[in-house]
Amino acid sequence: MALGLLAPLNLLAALAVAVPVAIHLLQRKREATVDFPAVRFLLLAQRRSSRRVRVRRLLLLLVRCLALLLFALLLARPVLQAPGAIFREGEPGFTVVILDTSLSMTALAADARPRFEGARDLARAIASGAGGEQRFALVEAAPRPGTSAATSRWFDAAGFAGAVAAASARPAVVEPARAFAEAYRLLRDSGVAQRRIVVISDLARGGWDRVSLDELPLFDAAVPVRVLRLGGDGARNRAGVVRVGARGESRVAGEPRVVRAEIANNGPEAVLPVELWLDGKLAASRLETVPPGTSAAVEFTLRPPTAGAQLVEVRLPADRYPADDRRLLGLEVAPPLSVLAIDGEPGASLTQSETFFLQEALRSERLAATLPIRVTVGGPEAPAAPIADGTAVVVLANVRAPGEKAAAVLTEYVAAGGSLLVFWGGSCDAEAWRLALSGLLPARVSASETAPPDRPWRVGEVDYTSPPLAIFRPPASGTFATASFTLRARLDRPTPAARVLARFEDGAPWLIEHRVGRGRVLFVASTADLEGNDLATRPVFVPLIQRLVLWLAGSLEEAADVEHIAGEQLEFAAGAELAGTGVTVETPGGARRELEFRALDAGSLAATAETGEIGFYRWSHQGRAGVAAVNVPAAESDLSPLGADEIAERLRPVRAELVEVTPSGAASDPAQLGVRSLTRPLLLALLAVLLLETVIAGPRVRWRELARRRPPHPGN
Amino acid sequence: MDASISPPRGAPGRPGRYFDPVVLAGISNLTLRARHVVEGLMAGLHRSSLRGLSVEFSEHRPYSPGDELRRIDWKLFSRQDRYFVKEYEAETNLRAYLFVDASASMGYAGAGISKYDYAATLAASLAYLMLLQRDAVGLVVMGAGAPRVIPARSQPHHLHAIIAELEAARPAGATDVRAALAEVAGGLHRRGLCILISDLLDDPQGLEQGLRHLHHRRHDLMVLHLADRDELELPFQKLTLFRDLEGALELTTDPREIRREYRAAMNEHLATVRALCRRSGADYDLFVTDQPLDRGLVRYLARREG
Repeated sequence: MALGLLAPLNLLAALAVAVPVAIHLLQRKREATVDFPAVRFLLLAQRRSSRRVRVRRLLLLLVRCLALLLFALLLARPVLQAPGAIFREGEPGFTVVILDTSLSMTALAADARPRFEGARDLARAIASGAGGEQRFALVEAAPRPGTSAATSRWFDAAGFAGAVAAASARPAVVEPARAFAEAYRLLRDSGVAQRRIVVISDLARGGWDRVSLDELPLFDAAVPVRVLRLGGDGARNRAGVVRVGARGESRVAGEPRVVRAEIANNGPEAVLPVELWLDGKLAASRLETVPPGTSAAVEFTLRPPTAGAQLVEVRLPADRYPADDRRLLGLEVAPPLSVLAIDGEPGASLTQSETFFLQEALRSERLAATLPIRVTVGGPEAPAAPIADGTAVVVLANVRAPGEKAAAVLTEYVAAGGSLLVFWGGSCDAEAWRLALSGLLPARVSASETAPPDRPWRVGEVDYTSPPLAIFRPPASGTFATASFTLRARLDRPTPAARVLARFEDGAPWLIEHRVGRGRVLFVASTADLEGNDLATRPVFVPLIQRLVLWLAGSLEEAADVEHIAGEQLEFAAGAELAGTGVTVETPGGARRELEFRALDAGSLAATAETGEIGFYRWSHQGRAGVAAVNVPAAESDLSPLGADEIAERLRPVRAELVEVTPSGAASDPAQLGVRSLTRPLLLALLAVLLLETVIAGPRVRWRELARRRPPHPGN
Repeated sequence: MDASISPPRGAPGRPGRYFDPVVLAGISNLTLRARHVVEGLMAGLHRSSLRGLSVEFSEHRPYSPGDELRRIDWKLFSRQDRYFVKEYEAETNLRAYLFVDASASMGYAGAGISKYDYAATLAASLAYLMLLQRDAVGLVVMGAGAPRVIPARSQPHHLHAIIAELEAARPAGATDVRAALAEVAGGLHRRGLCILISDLLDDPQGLEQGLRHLHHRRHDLMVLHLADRDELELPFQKLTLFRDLEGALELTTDPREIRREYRAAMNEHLATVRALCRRSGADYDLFVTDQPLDRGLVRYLARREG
């Protein structure tokens, strides 16, 4: 057994041993003077007691010094470590400590300290007192986001203590496979016979229940593995919010939105107070009945007063696991979508209008999406005046040809971020279009062409990977194959940046798009009414038009009312034309980061942000802004421990020896742990020494003498 | 109480210093309690002294004319119907000498009065009691230099001389008890009772020689040993420089560390003194200065009875 110190600097308190020595010396100078008649008896007594007094004084000094040394030693938190339990003393030994840094380790133990503090003490204890020939490595079971696997290295005992001090629990889930792989990699390189792996964890079911070590690279069955389980501290997650989301018919300000939170109740109470906070203010609260051991969904209805990002928070009363007592959601509230439709050939009646079917398709009550669209119809000429602010999409339906001024307006509009949806038609002049908007369209229009009535064109290849057409992927309902096309625009070779979303059976593009500046142009090579096809009579027409418009308006993607989990990456996608720009992200802690878009593949860019903190991440890009809520992993909310059999099953093929450890880090079975805290025996020793000091320093009580003194009577 | 004897008065400015009312009250109580003991030997502390007699009953004899009628024993007449007269013998008057130690060590005062004050009070009280009983009492004050001697007399006003001498003395110097006793003993021609009041911190052998000298001259001896509570128990609690009151000895020590040995040494000394007193035929009693004085008077009365 070797003596180790968890806090060696506290040994400086041993300097206090000078105090009793100083007292001992100074006391001799503080004497009183008494004229006494029986000095000769004093001399006699001193002669008789001189040896005893010297011994007593020396003993008293020693006892007092010993008491102070014991006190200093107590402050240094000594432990007895038995490396011989695994290692032979005096020979090199390598220990990898896999420390659970997952979120469940932040649960508070009975002494109000996080479990992780106990785990850290335990890790220190393992290394303290180790000989100079021993090496230690720390592997964090829940790694920091963005760190690579092979980051651990070997330390001596002091370096290891520093690494342990720098470790912390974080909002992440354990990754045992990664940790064990790292441990075996380290041990493989050590090249010595004495090796071991020590795992310090709470083995909470929420994190460890879904791990599997089926294939471990460099697995070595000869390496003994000990799992020190911190538990028995009564840390119990009474209740937690494990999921939160929002839904609603509209994302517009003032319209009702339903926030739905899932509450997992692991405590004894069936009724839980649940609160909803909006932008830092309590918006609603209620008592919800959630039977113990079950989960239940709680719904709150909100009417966000203004457009923009709203910060939503669902809260529960604090318990010993505060990490999941609140859950966040970024709620995107949008203004209504505005569409300007230019009817190039207004009919005499409503149904003969070129945009009749478009308006019908975009009516809000039929809108599958949650965003209302306000359609303004104009025409028949393309707008020559600047497009009104807030217009998300301009639709040109069977417009003969934009004039020069209109072409400039449209080009500027698209470059500034607007989107253009062009339907071809019988009134369109291909030559005029080529001259006016050749740079704006994804392909040059060479001519209009018609098909024989008995041999109409039909839709052939469809790019279901494109966002607006993804929902039509078979076997989902809806097909374009039944629609007949008799009028279409014949296109020349598309621009390099153009993407054909759908083609006719003969390969000619039907839907083709490309990005221009910050905007997008989608060209539909046929009509929006029944003049050139019968698509408007098919079931796919309404969702197709809706999705095309929403996609062009940038509102097709899921809004920010989807929560993110800490450790995941926030991804921002952009087109190639935004190369060189970046996204500004502000973390919950207030740090600002500039993320640059990187090319993923042809025509697309992406920027990613790590999420190591819990809270709201605010982002802004090219005038747009939003918020992303990052929450704790719900898997960590279940703190109930795994049984021994379950642990063995989860860790297979590793054969681990399980050791139960008390929350303070002291082993319930010191022989198994190999580390024993000396606090208790030292405390008892200190008390014994203090008692001894009292006996030595105090007056000698003679009970018989006391009994004789009452009543006082001098004998004769 | 005899009207001719007034309580001893202290020196001017210190009236009645040696007759504390509490002490006197205690003495009075003891007198009443002791009366039955001494009644057969002396006329009694009250009745005989009130009548100016100092006689003791001897025998009855038949009444003869000319005898005083008040001497007829009427109780006997009631039983035997004959007149008998009580015959008395004159009581033998006691001569007592009070040897009071006035050495410097007697000046030590712990929490209460000094040993000398205690000794002087005790001596004055004894003298007062003796004079009440018509005993002759003398005083020897043993201090620095030659002993000062006041011869024994039984006149009531003799008390004032004794008290004046006690008050005049001051504890000083060292006392050689043996020499003092030997010196005084030569002048004591009639045997009597010698009462030594001292702290007995002198050499025990010299003390024994002095006592033996007196005993050889057929004097009765009483030794009233005075001690302060501090001397017996050494209650001091911190490092102390002790300076000898009668010599140049000095000692710095922690009383707590030597207390046990000191008490043992003191007890040995007390046992030695007690033993030598027994060998010398002296009655011995130890008095602690925080205790009442009456015990010394009781001790004397007991001795007087014997």
